[in-house]
Amino acid sequence: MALPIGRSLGLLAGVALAWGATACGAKEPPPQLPTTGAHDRAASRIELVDLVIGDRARAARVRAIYVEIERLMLDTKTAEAKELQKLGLGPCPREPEQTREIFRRFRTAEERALRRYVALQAALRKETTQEEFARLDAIK
Amino acid sequence: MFWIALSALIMTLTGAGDDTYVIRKFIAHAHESVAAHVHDEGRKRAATATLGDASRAFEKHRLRVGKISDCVAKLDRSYAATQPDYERCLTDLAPAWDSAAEDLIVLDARLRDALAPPELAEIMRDTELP
Repeated sequence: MALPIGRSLGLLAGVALAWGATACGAKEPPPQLPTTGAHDRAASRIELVDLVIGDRARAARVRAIYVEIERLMLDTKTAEAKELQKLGLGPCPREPEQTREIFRRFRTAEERALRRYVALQAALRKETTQEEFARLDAIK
Repeated sequence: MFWIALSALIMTLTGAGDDTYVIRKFIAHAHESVAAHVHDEGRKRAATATLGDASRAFEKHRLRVGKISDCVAKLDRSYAATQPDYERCLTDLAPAWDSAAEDLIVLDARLRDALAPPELAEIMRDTELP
């Protein structure tokens, strides 16, 4: 029985959301994408770097790292959102390989952002002392 | 598969949320709609099982991605964390999403096979998300 793929996918989308109801009923929040968590942690520290690092030049470099992380993750989310939108559009039914390709592009965007994030985390450690790093980490 | 995609989109953009009202409304309507519109017992069982499997596959995927996220967050707190430590966190990233894509393809095909086009159209209409 061939049916429009978009319709059945939409139905399954609701099932996915239904699982979320269980998560929302639990005490812990639902899991985040790695890039989402990384964005949240960096964004909360941008304006507070000067309170932790007295050296103005170093503080500026650390702030620049957090700003780059925030921009990197926002750009990544924009790219990912565009790929996800394509799952609900396009030809019906879609060939499996087309679905795979959309997912590949999504996870490539996620991977690319996280590889850059790792490099920025290394740079952050070079610019901070262990004590400063701990104080920045304490900012939620 | 749109069920993962939609949820991933929500996670991606908001970092947390699900609208519990919409979700509860959807699941209640989906059950009612299948019962109302799918009269053949075999098709009804198949559709119900597929929806259950989709829900479980989604949960599994979401927890899998959450483990990667937790691993990265833990390293972010450690001054001693190194690039190889982060690389180890990311080893499951590509497999997790590739697996989600395969689940999507298989479950979508199963659902399309299980329901007659008019039945699916009715269920979609009943459970349409706002």
